[in-house]
Amino acid sequence: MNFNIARSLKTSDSDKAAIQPLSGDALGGARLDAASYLNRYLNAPETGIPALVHYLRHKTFEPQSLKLARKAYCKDVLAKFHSLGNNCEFGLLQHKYLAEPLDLFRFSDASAGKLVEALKSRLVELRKLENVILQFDGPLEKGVPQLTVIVPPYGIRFHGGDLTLRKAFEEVKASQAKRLDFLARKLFDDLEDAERIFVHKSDVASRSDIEQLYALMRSFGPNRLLWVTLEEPGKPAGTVELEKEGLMHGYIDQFAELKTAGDYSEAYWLKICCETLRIAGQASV
Amino acid sequence: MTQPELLAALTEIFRENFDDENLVLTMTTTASDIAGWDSAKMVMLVLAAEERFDVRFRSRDIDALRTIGDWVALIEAAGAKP
Repeated sequence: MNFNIARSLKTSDSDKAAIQPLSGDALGGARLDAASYLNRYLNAPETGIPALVHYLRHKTFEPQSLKLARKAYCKDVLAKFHSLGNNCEFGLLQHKYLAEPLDLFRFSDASAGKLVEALKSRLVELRKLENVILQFDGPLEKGVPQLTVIVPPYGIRFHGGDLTLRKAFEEVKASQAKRLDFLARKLFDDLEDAERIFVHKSDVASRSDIEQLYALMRSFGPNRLLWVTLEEPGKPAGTVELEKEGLMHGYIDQFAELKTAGDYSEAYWLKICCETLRIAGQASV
Repeated sequence: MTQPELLAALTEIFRENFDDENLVLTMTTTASDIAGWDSAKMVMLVLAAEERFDVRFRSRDIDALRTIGDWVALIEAAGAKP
């Protein structure tokens, strides 16, 4: 992650005023110019030698109150998005800022093509107990084995959380099926409400799949989809384009791999989200 | 059901889900006050509450839950059955 920050620090505007106080928001009046502020202060050290080095480089310590305001602001931004995969990258970024929406595909490997098939069938196969397969091959997290839940009709794998060793296999399976059913129901609620912005990343760009996904989502209501792909010449990381009503295309410098989903490009994800909200007219960032 | 009754019933649900008979809920309790209250646990808590009170919560209402007081208000508004 640090190389992104280092790269961002070289930008010419990173030393400009980063804080723009506005009134009447949940942060007690503190609003941040997210892009320049995040570029400069993301992952700023808190104490010790790193803090001293930070001070020498930037001639300032980040006040604790401002750090808390920044985190609250990022949480507020990220909670406005509903992750449609693929992989846990965006979900983990939300987790870092304590935004924990209960979204079905947030921790899954659902590609756009798989999402299209799943949504076309209204997730019927996913809501059947017999279609839920458990696999105990997840990586250890804090020493706890992780469970993978597979729904073969759609070929989608979900992170099932900590493996509870005290429960019988059938009990765990029933519990996971119940969980998927609930999250599917909640997804349809979100699609009907069309309030949050859906986000899907794809390192292998498939415009046709995205167009189908977008059309399916719009059949529920005036939904917005942010499609994130790798940067291209003329479209540097952080760029967000409005392709048509409700479909936004964001560009990022790199994606995290499935097995290292926590290695996400934090600064650019946040910048893309802020820009998307601005385009969608949902935030004064 | 009155608010104290709802709080007592919710306490039962939480104690069962967190496997902690000593768990005490107040109207101001939040997820940060209870170890292990993550998104996976939240799903099970919502499902248990829906079953117990015979109600169905909308997604946006679930996302807006912050304190136990919010839970009580939501269940009350949904017309919980004893």
